[in-house]
Amino acid sequence: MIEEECLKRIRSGDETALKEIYLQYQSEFLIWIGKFSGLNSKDSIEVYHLTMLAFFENVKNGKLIELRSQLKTYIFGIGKNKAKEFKRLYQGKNLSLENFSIEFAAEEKTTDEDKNHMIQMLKKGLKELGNPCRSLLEAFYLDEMSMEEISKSFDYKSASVAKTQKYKCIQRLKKIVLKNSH
Amino acid sequence: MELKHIKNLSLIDNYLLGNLSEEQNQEFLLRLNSDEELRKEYAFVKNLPTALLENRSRRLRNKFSTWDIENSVNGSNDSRQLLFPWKKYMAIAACISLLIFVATMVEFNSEIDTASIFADNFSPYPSETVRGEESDKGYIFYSNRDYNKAISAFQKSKDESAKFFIGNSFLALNEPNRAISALNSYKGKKYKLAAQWYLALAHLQNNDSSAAKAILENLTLQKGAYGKKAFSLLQTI
Repeated sequence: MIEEECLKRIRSGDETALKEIYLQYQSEFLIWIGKFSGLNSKDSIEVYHLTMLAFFENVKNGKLIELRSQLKTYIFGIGKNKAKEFKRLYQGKNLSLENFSIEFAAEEKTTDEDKNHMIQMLKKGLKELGNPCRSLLEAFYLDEMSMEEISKSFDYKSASVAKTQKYKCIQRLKKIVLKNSH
Repeated sequence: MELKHIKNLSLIDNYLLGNLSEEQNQEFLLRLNSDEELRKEYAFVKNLPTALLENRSRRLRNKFSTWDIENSVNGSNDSRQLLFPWKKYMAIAACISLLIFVATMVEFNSEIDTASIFADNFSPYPSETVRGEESDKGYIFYSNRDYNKAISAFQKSKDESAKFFIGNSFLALNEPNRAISALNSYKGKKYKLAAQWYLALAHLQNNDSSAAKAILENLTLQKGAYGKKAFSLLQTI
C-alpha cells in the first residue's frame, strides 16, 4: 500500500518520492547487479540510472499503475534486462552513454539525419523554453494527461484555457527553434 | 487563422497519440499530402515527444548523479549499511566514477551552455505556508505560479523573506538582472544559503558563468544540501 502511494506521488510530479525509492534500493541493486552481470561499479551505476529512468517513465505514462509484485522485484526486473541490453550494446565499446536511450526511444532510432537534427534543435529549444511550458508539453506528450487533468494540475481555469496555453507554448518553441537555426 | 492552427495541432496530436480511427487516420494522411500548412506543422510536432523524452531523461540523469554524490557524501546510518559494511567503499568508488563520468559527459557535450544548465537546475523555492498575514497574498500568487502578481504583492510586504521570493519570481520570469538585484538585497538568515544558490543560478541564466562559479565555490564550503548541490553543479560548468 505504501509502495502504491509512492507511485501516485511520482505520477503527480513529487520528486522526493522518486528520490526516496532511488536511494532505498540503490546500494542493494549495485551489489546485486555486480554479482548478477559481472559489471564493474561504474557500469553498474549507469545501469541503475537507466533502470530508474525506465521505472520513472513507466510510472509517469501509466504503464505501471498497480504493482503485481513488490516494488523491489519490479525494479530489479527492469535492471536485469537493462544490464543484458547494456552488455550487448556497450560493454567494451567506447561509445557515448547518452545514446543509450530508454525502451521506447530506442525503438524510434533512425539514421535520418534531418530527423536527428530536428530533435537536437527541439531539445535546445525546450531548454530555452523553460517552465511552465516545458512541463505542460511533457504532461501532454509524455504523460498523456488530458487537457482536463492538465488544467487542474497547472491551475488553469478550464481545459480550453490549457489547450490554448499549450498552443502558445508550441508557437513560442517554434520561434526559439527558428531563431536558433539562423 | 489561430483557430485553424489550433485545430491542425489538435488533429496532429490525436494522430500521434493514436486517438484516430482507421478512417480518420487515412483522411489525415491524405490531407498531409495536400495541405502544406498541416504538413509543416506535423514536421515540427512529430519529433517533439522524442525531444521531450530525451530532455527529461537528461535532467533526471543529472538529478541521479547529484543524489549519488549526496548519498556518498552523507554516508548512511540505516540498517542497510550494517548489512553491507563495504557499501562505504563502493560509495566512494561510485563517487569517483561519477566524477569521471560527469567530466567525460562534459567533454561529449561541449555545446552545453549556461542557459541549459540553468534550466536543468532551476525550480522555484517552495512557497511558505500561508499564515493569514499581509505578505500571504504574495505566497498565494507565488504558489499559483502567477509571478507578476506575486512580485507586486511581495513588494508591498515588509517581511525580509519577501525579497527572496521576489528574486525567485524574477528567475521564473526569466529576468535574471532583476532577480540578482532582489537576491542581493535579501539580508535575512532564514534563506541565506538558498539565496546564494539562486543567485548563482541567476548569474547562469544571465550567461555569466564566472560570477556563478565564484558563488558556488563559496557555497561548497557550507555543510548541508546547498553545499552538496553547489559541488555537484560546479562539475557541469
